[in-house]
Amino acid sequence: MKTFVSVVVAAFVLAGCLNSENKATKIDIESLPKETAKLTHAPEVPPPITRKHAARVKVDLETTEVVKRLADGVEYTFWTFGGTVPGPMIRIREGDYVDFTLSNHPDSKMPHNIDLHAVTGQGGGAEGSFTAPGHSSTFSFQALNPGLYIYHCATAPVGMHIANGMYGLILVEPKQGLPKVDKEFYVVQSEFYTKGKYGDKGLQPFDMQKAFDEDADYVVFNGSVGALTGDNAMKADVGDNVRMFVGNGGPNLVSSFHVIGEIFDKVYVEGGTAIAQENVQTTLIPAGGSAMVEFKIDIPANYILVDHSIFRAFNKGALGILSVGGEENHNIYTGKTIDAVYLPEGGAEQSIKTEKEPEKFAAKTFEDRMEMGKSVYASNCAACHQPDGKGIKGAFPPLAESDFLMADKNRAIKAIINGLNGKIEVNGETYNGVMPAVSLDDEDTANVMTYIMNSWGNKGGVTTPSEVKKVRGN
Amino acid sequence: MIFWIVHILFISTFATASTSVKIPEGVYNPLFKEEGEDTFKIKSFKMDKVPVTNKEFYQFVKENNKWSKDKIAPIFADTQYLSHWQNNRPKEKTLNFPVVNVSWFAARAYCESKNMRLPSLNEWEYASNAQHPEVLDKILKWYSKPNQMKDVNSFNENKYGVKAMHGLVWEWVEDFSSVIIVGDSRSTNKTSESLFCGAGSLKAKRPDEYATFMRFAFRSSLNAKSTTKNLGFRCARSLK
Repeated sequence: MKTFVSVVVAAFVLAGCLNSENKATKIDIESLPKETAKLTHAPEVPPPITRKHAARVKVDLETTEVVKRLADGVEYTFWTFGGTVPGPMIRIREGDYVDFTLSNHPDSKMPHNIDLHAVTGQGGGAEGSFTAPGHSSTFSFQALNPGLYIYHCATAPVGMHIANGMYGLILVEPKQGLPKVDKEFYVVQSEFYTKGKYGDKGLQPFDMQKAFDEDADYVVFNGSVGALTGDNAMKADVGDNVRMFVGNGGPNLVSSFHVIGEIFDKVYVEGGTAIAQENVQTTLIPAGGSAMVEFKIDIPANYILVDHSIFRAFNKGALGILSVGGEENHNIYTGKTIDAVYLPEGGAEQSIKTEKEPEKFAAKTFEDRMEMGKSVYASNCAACHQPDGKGIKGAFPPLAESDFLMADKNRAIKAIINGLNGKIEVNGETYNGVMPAVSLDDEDTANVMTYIMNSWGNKGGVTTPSEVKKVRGN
Repeated sequence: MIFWIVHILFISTFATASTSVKIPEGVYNPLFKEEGEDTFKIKSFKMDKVPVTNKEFYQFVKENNKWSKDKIAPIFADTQYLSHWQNNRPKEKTLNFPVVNVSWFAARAYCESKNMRLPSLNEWEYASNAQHPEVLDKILKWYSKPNQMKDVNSFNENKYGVKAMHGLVWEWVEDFSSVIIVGDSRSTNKTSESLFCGAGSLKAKRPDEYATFMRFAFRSSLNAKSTTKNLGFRCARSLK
């Protein structure tokens, strides 16, 4: 009997050992080499981890409440990790022991904490990091599971802390590391709920009711409209292997993440590490979740990141650009080769604005018109004519240094108001497409005219609303 | 010499004590309630019209040296205690701003020195009239902007005749920790203790009262010795 008991005990002990080896590696915390994590702001990614052993990693993160740009002319009081939306990206290795310190800036109005989905433990660290303004909290954890994880604030009211911008990504690299690539990017989608509508100017407060109704005004990549377009576009070269660490902060919407003009060679679905789906067009990224996508770039283009729930992309801000230069390869893609007339439908009106006119700030000076015209351009024209006004060869004619545009102002105004069909010649290239009428009022039309006639090397003077009115009247 | 003259003038401008207002008895419908509790009857009490100012607190500290920044025992306040003052006195421009960076212990001691006490959580919530939709909207707007200190008197009276309950600073209450919110505000599953997330929303009478949620969350992040830059107080007194 006695022997039997001891055998059972031994079996238990053995099972216990095996079990603990499975997950939590037994580590001597004190003897681990120490290092401080290098945190990066989006779209930059911390360098890959090259060491082959666990370390004791110090991570310091500060929470702040700051007013920043949400879109051109629109500001918002963001609650942030590290002063930015998304918060900095953290990169550690499976088995690392992390000493995490969260400091809440004295100017904060709110207490904050952090729930890292990479943490096994109460609240993912939220319980150990609940911090009043002007204080800091430290807790430690061992990174048991590799993968790409969201972190976010989980202080009540949780929804509001997330809605105001408190999220980011932490990558726990598997022990064997991730396959080497040429470029890595850090992108987080999220949405904002404001008192005013999309584009309404000024410091916009959070709108609780819209958040309840999941009726977002802004859906953006990296915290603001235009954070990844124009001068902020990500850059790569033909031949590069690219990896994007993509998160979705939510708070509510699930992303249909897609890159226009590219196919993901591999998607580590939901941020896991074991199985990579291959040849994916659009991948779902849940709120509070992530995905790693990889692709090789074969030809030069502006690859456009969108949430393919597509009104979010073209009307709420969910656009980003990966700009790739290099040599064309007509074996893969030729661009337009045949150009013929086919116009059964004519110019249907594309109505972008709602019926109710928002309160308008009327531009007085040339500078006003340029500034306001720029945001009209960004929301109505840039998708085709491109943020730099250069258009897309063969498809969308350029506005920058365009002989066609500059030759006849009234014709240009007409094109905006009524649309434009048929063959035109711009800077020696023939275009034959359809530009839909854009329903802008006189003021917006005048501003966008002024902007396009005086940007990217153009010098065409001011267009006034009365000129637009006159053209409309004819 | 000049210092002394300034100093004397400075002191002579002190008001004796801030005026308090009688809050009529009434019924307060709490956001979070225990079983069997639906409303609280609030007895009539007196409460300061405005939060305690830097000027008033400076006078108190002068008379009660053990509450000065250099003398205060570390168990009664953390290191940021009165850190917005310079050389142990408030800046001239901020005299009529609410005193902040004070601990619960210090706030309590101040009120005791005036033969008063801190208001209870229920008294404070009741007097703040925070459940009125217009007030709610105002509060949410305050949360949406970085804070700016102002003269305590630059606010309108609310329906009970008190000012600046919202839109200026958070305020200590006597039983600030009576509503326990654990650090991970989603972990509890018993509605009798919980305030937030799943259970919290079920338990809260009006889940859309985000403003109130935030006040409760803020209070529960504090210790009695905590001081923060946006946290002040005012005093109250029971009526016989």
